[in-house]
Amino acid sequence: MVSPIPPVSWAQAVFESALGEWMRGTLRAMPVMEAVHIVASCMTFGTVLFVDLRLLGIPHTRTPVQAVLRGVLPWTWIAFAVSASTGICMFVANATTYVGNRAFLLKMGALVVAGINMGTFHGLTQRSLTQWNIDAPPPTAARLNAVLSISLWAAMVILGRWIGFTKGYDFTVPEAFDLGTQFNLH
Amino acid sequence: MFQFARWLGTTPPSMAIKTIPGLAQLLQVIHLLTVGVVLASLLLMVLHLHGRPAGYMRGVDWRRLSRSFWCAMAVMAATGIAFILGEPLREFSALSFWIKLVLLVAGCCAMLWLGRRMSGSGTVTPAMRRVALGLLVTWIAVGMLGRFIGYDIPIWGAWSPRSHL
Repeated sequence: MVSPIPPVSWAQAVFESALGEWMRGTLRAMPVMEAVHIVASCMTFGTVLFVDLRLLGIPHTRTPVQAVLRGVLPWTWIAFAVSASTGICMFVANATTYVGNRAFLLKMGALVVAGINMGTFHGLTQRSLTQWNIDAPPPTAARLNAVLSISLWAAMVILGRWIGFTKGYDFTVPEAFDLGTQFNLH
Repeated sequence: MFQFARWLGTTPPSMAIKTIPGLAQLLQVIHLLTVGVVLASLLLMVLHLHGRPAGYMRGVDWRRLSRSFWCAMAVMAATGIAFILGEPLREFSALSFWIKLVLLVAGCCAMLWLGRRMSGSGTVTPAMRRVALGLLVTWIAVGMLGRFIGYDIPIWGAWSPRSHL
């Protein structure tokens, strides 16, 4: 089915939204959102890494997988929620630029594949968890899920940074804000 | 300080970082990935000291988390030094950089103190729990300040040494 609105118009509407205007018109909004986004994304990657290493049996299989999932995954979700919300704010502020950025599109693609990978782990691989929960080598499917997950989340961090390299450093001080007058720089 | 930064920017290591294609970008992504390991290690350490969730923390080894933390810190420090060499004026002229440095030193000292207490009696006291929580907050601030270096004037205004360049 063909979308009734061309993608560029859709991005333009998002760009011109109240949130977009606020993001571009508030001096510290973009720096703060970016900083929080980076920290939350790194935290998401780090916590995912600890879970996936356990799925690979690294460094050992003495800790129950179930306990690792219960102990760490809630924090991954919290970090991801923060990362996604701040990411949306950043996207809205520059939607028209982001939709044409290859690194951004690849990052979104990686996010979708990571979601599918997580779905297959929880929906299929985890069904046999009682057999390899503790002191047993994880099955090949779990190892595959883990390797794919680590690769995809690392790729998302790398691609996220690549957006900055390819999109350019386009932070502009809001028009109504004269840094010189505000901070006595003249 | 700015003179020193300008001189540092002309040294061979600085020129290499600036001119070798892709090197600065590679260093940045390595730095970011290790930030993730440091933050996750710290989060698990805080959970460990707070004894929750009990089922998971029984199997968690403090020493292993501590090793992950310090290994990632070493990589982070090496890539961080490379950033300074690559763009010394940008770093030294940012108030965010200096605050980050102070927090890093304080954080490392607190981490060493915690490590010593844990390898000693191993008894977790309320003070240790508070320090661990403070450490996590400190490292989140360090991560944010790292990004603020690029936005020093909009963030700090006239307090930023960059505004007087």
